Amino acid sequence: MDLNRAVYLALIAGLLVSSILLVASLALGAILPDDKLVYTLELAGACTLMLTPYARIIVSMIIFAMNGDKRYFMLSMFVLLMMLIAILLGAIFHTLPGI
Amino acid sequence: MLDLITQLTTLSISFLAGFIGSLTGIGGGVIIVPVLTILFNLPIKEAIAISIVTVIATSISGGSSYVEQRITNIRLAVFLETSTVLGALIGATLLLIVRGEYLYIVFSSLATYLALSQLVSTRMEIRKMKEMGFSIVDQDKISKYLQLEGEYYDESINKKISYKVKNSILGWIVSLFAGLGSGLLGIGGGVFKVSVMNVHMNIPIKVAVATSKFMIGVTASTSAIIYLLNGLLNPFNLSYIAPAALGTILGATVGTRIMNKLRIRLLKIVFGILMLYIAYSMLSKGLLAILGVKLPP
Repeated sequence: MDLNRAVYLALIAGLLVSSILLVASLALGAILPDDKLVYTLELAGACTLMLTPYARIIVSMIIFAMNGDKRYFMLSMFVLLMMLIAILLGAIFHTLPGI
Repeated sequence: MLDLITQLTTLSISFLAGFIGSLTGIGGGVIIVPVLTILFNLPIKEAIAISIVTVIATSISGGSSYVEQRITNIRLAVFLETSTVLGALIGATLLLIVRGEYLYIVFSSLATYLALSQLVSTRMEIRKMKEMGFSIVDQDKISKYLQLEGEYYDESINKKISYKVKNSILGWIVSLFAGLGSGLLGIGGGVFKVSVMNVHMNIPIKVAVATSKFMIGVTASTSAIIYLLNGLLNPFNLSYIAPAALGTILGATVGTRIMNKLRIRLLKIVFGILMLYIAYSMLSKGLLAILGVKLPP
């Protein structure tokens, strides 16, 4: 499969799902301002956005593997690993980048 | 829940940030953070946390569009991401033991140098576009091995532009510093990546902007998850995220539709001026933190 096409589809899927969740949170918030569901939708929308770059890396890793491109498969895996270690360190040490 | 006026103001400012970000390859935090802190009195930490989510939104929205238009160089992005995430990881770890204020001065100097290089190289880039100069450079060994070269169709001159990549090690090192800056100071680093790609790696400005836009989501999402785990995104400030993220998505959508049609000269001048502003803003933060000197805003 074409790398550009696969990466595009991964990004656009994340964008669509998060936009729907965030628009729904705004619409529901206008009717029921303090409902718990509004917060849940906002959080789900934000989390979908946060996870989309991870999905994009995983998709490109799959495409590189399918195309037999070992170099880029390894490079993408390194990127994913570093991202996961950063989250782990952040969770353990309460490291707050940029603050 | 925010009132309608606050929602609309957040949406409009975010639209502007998404629009400018998609034209220049930056995240847009430089626009959103001051607005949230000054206009809505949000604490700086929460403003950064909200801004970082909008940076992901603009990266996905702008990034997807540039990938569809085949301007983004995905291989180059993966190569530079290896150093930028490594830098962000080192930066976030260093934050535990060092103070980052002196880095503001270092980054401010680097930004000034790259901004001036951008402006000075405008004429040369236009000539290279006309004479296919981007494709007649000697690629370094790593660029050759990783097949970093590429091509895109430039709509402003209706021409396919092929390019080869040089100075890949320098690009990798500057990306490492950009990641370090994002880990230590919370700056996105998009400006540094665009500049080094364009000025030193022989990447046309539009490809540099598109590739940077694509890359910044990776460091931003890692930071955002850490903020979330540390409780910086709470029920109160999450209500800013819907209008802010939707605004940047819309702004980036509009921006990406016109970026490829813009003249190189205009794009480089806008980018150079924006970068000089960022350099000034970082110098101002650094001087305030180190010497207590306050520069005019």
